[in-house]
Amino acid sequence: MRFALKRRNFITFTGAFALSAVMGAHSAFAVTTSEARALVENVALQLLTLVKQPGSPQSKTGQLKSIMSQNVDMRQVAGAALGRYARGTSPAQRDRYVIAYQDYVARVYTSRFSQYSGETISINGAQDFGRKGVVVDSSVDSGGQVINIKWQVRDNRNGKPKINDIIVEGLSMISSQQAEFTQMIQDLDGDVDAFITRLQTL
Amino acid sequence: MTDSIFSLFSKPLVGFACATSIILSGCAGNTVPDQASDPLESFNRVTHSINKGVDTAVLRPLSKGYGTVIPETVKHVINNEVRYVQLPLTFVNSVLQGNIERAGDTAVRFFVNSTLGGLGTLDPATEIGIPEHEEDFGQTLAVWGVGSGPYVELPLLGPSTIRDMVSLAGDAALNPTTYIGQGTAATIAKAAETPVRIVDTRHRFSDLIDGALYESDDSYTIVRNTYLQRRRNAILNGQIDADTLPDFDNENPF
Repeated sequence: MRFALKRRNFITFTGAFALSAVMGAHSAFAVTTSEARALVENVALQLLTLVKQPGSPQSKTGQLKSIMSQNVDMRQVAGAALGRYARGTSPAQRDRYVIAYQDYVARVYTSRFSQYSGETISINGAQDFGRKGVVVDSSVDSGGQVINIKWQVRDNRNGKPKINDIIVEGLSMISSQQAEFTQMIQDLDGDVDAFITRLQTL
Repeated sequence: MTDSIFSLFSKPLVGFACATSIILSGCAGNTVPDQASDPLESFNRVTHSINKGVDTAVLRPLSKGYGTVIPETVKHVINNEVRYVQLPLTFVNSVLQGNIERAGDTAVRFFVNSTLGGLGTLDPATEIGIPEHEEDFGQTLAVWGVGSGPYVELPLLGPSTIRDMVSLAGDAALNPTTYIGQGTAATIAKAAETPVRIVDTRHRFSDLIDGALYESDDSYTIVRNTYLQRRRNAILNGQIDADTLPDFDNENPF
């Protein structure tokens, strides 16, 4: 297992290196693979510390929100999760929705914290996808069960590297939310305000 | 042994794959269907509500009972066995996909768990760090460029696509329990294999399945999306397809 992972690392690294050499001229200000890796390592460490910290899951919601707001491009992610309905929103709806979305994500993830303890994370490599940013590949070991987590990192509008998507065992958080949210809005005859109200109760 | 399996299956399969790709040529090349297009949705939603009813009434209580009543050691052995009988299928499909590394891992895993592991009751292969893979005919057809065809939710069998549904026959043909001899023990093993595998899988993925079915406003959409994403990931062996990464440069006003 360890051997195979190393080999894959090597391939990913050389691939990423070749890609960044080719794209170098066009992405002078884009996030590098090492910056993305450092960001993910830092965030993963903060998350694992929060999970292990004593206290009820609910008591950790605030801390999770602060980790997210510092390291995740919450407005972009929230917008992407709205899919085709994002374009028709008013500025007031967008502000209300982003707040509801942050609360929703923090609620959903802290409620799952109780299932975890004593995890360790190792970073396997990082691959540059140019305009779409860098994807950092990691493995979380949860009592012998190894879960693959990929983190998409891109520069935000101010040129700061931020996490944009988390892909757990092939399941992208944005893609899953987009499928769920657009179906909910469609079932509400396109009423985004009604959807935001519903999101607050989920 | 392995050579004969390979030659047995490769020729008819290639012909079969070509025929399938002609039928599905409209979508050839796409590993999973575009989620916005779901031409069988009205049919699928009917089978989905039946499947969900069966899960609520039978499968979920059964899997919960299995989780609490059966001792951990027994569950562990059952899970080892369920994964062990899939290995010939994974081996043949790794070969068909030209993935020699995965074929080699799987052959070694099968050998180790057949001998030291007592025909798959134990899993020493994992202990010594041999990677585990899962490959089936649906993935092989996808690697060969056969399109998925529309998404379909099958009665009792759950989420699938036309391509993956057609491949199920080939998957069953490579399950060793199909071929074990006669006698009471063999008959019981054959009859028990599918229900045991279903309950073991339902139990193993209970968080994912419960979340999709019972913690969302529209479980049909969540099941479809989850299946298609996991399937793409399986076909690509965990590699990222750049096209599927969310793009934030569109006219999103956020």
